[in-house]
Amino acid sequence: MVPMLLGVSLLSFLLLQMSPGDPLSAQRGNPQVPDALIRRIEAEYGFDRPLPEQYLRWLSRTVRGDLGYSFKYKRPVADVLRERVGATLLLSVFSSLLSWLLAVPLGVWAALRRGQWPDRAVSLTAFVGMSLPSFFLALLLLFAASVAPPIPWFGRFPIGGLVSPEFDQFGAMQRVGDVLKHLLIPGLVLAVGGVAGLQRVARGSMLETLRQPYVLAARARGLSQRSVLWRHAFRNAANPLITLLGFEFSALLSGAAFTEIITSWPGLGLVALEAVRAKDLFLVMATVLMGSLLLLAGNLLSDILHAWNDPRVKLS
Amino acid sequence: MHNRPLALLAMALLASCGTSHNKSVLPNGSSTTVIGSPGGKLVISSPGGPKTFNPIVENESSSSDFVGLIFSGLTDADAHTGLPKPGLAESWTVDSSGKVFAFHLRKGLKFNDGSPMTADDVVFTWTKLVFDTSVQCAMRDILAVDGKLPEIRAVDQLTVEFRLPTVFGPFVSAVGGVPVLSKARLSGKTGRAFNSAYGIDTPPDSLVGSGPFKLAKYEGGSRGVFVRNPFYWKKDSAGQNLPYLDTILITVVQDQKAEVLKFKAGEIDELDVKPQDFPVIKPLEAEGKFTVRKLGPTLAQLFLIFNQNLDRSPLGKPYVDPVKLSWFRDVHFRRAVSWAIDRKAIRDIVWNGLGSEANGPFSPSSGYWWNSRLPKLVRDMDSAKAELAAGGYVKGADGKLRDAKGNAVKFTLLTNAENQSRIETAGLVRKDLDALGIDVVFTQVEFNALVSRLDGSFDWDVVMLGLTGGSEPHFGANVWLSSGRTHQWYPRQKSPSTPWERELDSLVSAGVRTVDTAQRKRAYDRLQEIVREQQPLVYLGHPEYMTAVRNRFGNVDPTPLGGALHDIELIFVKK
Repeated sequence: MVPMLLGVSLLSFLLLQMSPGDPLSAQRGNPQVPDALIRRIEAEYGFDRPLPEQYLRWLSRTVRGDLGYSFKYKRPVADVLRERVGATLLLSVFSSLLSWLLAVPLGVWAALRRGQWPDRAVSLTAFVGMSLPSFFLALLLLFAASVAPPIPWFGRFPIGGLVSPEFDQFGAMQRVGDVLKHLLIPGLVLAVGGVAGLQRVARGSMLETLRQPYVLAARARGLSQRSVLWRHAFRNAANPLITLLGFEFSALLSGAAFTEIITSWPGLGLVALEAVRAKDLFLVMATVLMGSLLLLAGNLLSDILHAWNDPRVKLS
Repeated sequence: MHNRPLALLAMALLASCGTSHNKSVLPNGSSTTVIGSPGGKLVISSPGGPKTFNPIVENESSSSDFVGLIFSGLTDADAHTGLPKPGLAESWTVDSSGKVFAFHLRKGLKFNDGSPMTADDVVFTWTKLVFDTSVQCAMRDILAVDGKLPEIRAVDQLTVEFRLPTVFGPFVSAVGGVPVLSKARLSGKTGRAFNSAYGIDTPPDSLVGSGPFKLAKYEGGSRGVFVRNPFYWKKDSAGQNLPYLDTILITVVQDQKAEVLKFKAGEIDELDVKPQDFPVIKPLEAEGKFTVRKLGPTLAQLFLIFNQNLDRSPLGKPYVDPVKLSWFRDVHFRRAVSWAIDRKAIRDIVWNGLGSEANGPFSPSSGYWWNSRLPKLVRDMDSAKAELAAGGYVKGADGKLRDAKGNAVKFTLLTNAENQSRIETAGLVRKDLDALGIDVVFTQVEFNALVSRLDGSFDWDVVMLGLTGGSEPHFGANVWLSSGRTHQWYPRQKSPSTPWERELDSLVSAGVRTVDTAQRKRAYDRLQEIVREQQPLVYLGHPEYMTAVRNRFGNVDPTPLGGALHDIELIFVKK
């Protein structure tokens, strides 16, 4: 695990440094920023040192838990990330739950009704969902929300954001409702993309297991349809889904950038994108590192789940 | 998608400390100002939200708008002319040498925590914060002359005296860009620690300033709540305390289309209307109870630059192909290109007909300093052909333009990929130059990559770029000085490479080495004439500045220079 993280960090550090531009591009292009100030800032951040030294400095600080200073936000990188992590987690956990809860039953249903209208209807929706770009769907929904009349007990759909401007005057229950209301559009947009793909995997995997001899055997022994389906077939069909879950975990913090931007969701997506654009070195490094760590954690999680679900797999 | 944040990437982010806080202006008794009543709230959106509340450290414009609500300086900028007017200082004097300034603070000034503000706080702000080398503030380097900094002392509780090492024409404006901070609150946070002081996670109570509002709450990337500063010094002519509004809510909207939808749905009260959104927004005026105002050209400039760099790389290779260099350094060639460009088409196609042709380096909206005598730049193919003939260029039977030595004229036009309207403009420019027989290859790169070519590898032919300036011309002097880093067509020259660049240098110097405004204006008028004659930058035009504000707000008097909501302490909700 450690060599892999080192490799990832070295590679992204080099790529960032080799691509044109640096964190001070905006200042260099600004006639109002004197040369002397640019030189002072370069010295302050060590940008005037040789590359290997810059990398080692970054590494030794990171190992000690100091992620460095965000040039754009003028604060420690850790603070910038901490502030945004909550909103992003809320959104991705909500949309993941929504998509898994919808996709798996739909996939199983479609597999059972293979070739019949439910299968075709689900497939058609899945293909439409897959081919609709998330930013476009988000804009469509925002537009619909802006023209929709107020709904009784619900009010108007908010046009993006995390909370209403009047949030501070709300009571506790009203606050929860307000956040959920704002969560609906971005959560739905992300879930639609997820449902489409997951549903196809669940269907395919289920079809394959339903064809296995042991399913026939279970049926022949007179087990109920429910038991055959969920205890025998589904447990085996779930293996590829568990692998996917591991990958999904790694995307928890980074998978929603476009949707976040369109729906003004104050998450990490925009921070990461702006950081790459502005070449905010330490912030980019921190987001890359976080993504890699989550990917590793996701793989670990799916391994553990495999072991639990599939008796053939042993943790050693 | 995402135009607004990218507009910020336009080259000059107005906001090094020095010119950023030109948003609030005195109640100047102008005929449009009426007496309002206290109360109410205003909801506005911001593309990225503030990144920091630090008013001194070098910074970008998404932050400086909010910084201007909380902090204020000794002087303010007039939203119409851009010239300085009294702020925390009710008056100032300058001695006959032009180097000694005395600023007289108003009596009874208080910070937003109720503590008194005195001349000591001003002295502290300058000597301990602005002039500290470990603090990232441009003002220090702007005012330093051969390492010598101004001397500052408190003459008495209400008077501050600045002794400059040399005459600095825009000093009164410069002073306005540095807000007065509290000595009592910050004396433990000087030096390097100050760079990260007043970040967006600062507890609101510790953000001690003297602007019309103070921060009540800020949630990063999401929203901010500003409330009335009860200790703000300004009163209206009926003696009521200002500001009128109780609350200003900021909501962060990153996507420009989402912002338009939010405005249509009534969630926000003000919208900067882009030319492409005008046809959608304008018909909704009555239904949405707002007014769209067209206020003239923006301060944004869009131009072409030719690479005139004579230097060689460290490996001894010329930065610019000598053949191309001979065209780019030829004034006839540059003028021909300028005459051939159909700026009206750019206005009509790129900006929906909402904009205007440029006449020179300053925007007509930049107030006092704009040279109005220069005629607009309009397409004139006869003049273009005459200039080409004068330069020895001939258009052959194959339709290709060749220089006197027979080289076909062909170059690469580069712009930043993030900006859709620049890409559209480049297409039109290409078509116009094709009519002269010039073969233009169009390429887009990321903004960062573009800057590193302009300021590092010098590997480019012609670049299309934008600059957004303020009013005070000296703050853009780096563009005109031949030694300047942002003298983009040939930066960092050891000595001026042409007589007209030498004259630009001396005009910049003439503009800054006197405090006589009329004399300064003459220098900048001449500067604008030279740039127009020589066309080192071929100006293409300005989009129209338009803003939509709900009708229930009074004292709304937007200007391109001051923004939609300048005089924000005077804005009130009509009863």
